[in-house]
Amino acid sequence: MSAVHQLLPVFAGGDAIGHHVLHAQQVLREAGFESEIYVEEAHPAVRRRARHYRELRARPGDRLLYHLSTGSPMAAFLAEQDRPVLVYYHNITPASFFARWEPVAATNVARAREELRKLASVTRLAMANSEYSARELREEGYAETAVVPVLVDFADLDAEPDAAATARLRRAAEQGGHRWLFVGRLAPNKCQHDVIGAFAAYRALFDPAARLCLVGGSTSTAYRRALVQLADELGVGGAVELPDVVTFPELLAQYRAADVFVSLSEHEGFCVPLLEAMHFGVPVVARATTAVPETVGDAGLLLPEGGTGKDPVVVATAVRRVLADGGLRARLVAAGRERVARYSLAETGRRFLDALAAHE
Amino acid sequence: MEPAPDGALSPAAVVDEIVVEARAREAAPDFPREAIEAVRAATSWMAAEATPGDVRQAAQLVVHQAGVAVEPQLWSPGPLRRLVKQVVHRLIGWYVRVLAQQVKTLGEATARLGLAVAERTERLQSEAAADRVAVSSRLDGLSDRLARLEALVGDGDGAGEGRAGNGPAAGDAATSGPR
Repeated sequence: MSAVHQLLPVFAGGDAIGHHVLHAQQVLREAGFESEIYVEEAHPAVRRRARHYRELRARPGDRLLYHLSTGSPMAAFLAEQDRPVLVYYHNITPASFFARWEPVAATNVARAREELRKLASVTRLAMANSEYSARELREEGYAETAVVPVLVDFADLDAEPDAAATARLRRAAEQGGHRWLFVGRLAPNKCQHDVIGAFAAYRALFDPAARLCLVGGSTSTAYRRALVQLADELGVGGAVELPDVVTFPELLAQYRAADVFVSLSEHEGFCVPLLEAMHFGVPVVARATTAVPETVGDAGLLLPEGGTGKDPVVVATAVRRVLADGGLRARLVAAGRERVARYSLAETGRRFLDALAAHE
Repeated sequence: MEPAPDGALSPAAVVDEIVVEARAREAAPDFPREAIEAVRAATSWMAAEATPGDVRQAAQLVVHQAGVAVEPQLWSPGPLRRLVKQVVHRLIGWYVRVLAQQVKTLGEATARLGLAVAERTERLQSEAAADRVAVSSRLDGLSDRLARLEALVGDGDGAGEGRAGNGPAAGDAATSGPR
């Protein structure tokens, strides 16, 4: 039986890449492949499901699939293996986004991009999470590319939400005011500062009781601190929640309580939370940058990529329109559900196996 | 997306409407201009990618980086490593806090200096711009006068014979520009 083993630098389990790797393993095993996960670091919750990459003993004919999103010595390790490599490219955030806030991260992503370049010559097939990412791969010299969206099992989202969080959010809803949500690492490229700015404008123009929740772990302490200070400076500190990392049931409670999902991110390779919001019937307002238009399609309001798309008055007006126009909201929610169906695990799993089969 | 019901706009057309509506709202007399300008000013310096040469933006960053985080991540994959981290943290935490306070104070002072430099630079730039406008206006005045003088000299060479002396015309003498 042939094997497709996966390698990734950091196996967190709870993030989009971790879920993707676990689903890929499931799809591979169901298709009859042997498949193990090899990592540089693993979170305790998933540690037993992975081994250290130095323990890898691949047999002739085994294929190695490397998940590339950050810098790691694993790239050099793979380049030394005398066998063709498969790459799944989750995209690398450009270093310029981190230079101001987190110089160490900037160095890491610059290194990752260098490794991406070096792996091109030993890679037989490079899969990308979006056409946007596939374009980057081709620009870096990858000859064979295929778009295979992130593997997500949306049925997982139908689990029971956290009871305490649900009760707390219900009590907050009784106070009135719409609830904005964004889910993603607190990182400069995600532009949570623009979301806070637009939210402040929305409260000033339309809904003084509105609330905003920015769910996501922090990659830059300074950026997180600046966000808290920004919210206070704009007089919305009491209405903005930054809960940091939340449990999966707490995340489900947040999605269920949200009235609108607002993304003003400047760089996304795919952005799974957009689809998660659609799954919950939460209308999406997003800035049309990088891979976001591909992911959203016509199932959300896509604001212009330039400065207009993050102007606080424009964003606030867009949110107001979605929340006030019942017909528009219903059409977006219906389109969102169709969109999610296109990214079902059955569909993306099939595309994943097709891409592998085409490059046996 | 499902075909829109009769008369319903596509999402792209709705966005076009929204942009127009937002601009109209801004033009309305009851628009909270001050609050919105405060939002724009506060978020612009946090722009994901830095503007080269923006002293104010750089100084604002010092303000945020100055708050040194003294509570490190104590989690580790191995329990022994985690325990060592916790012990070291307890042993030297108080000392690190003292150092962090000094670094923070230094950072805040540096930021104040940076913001003062930014303010001074912006004021000088603004004064220089006003001076440039004034000089340009005076140069225009001089050019006009020169043109008029040249015209007069031309007249003197031809039809203007009989005027006494070589001084400027009365109109020129009345102008207040420098000579």
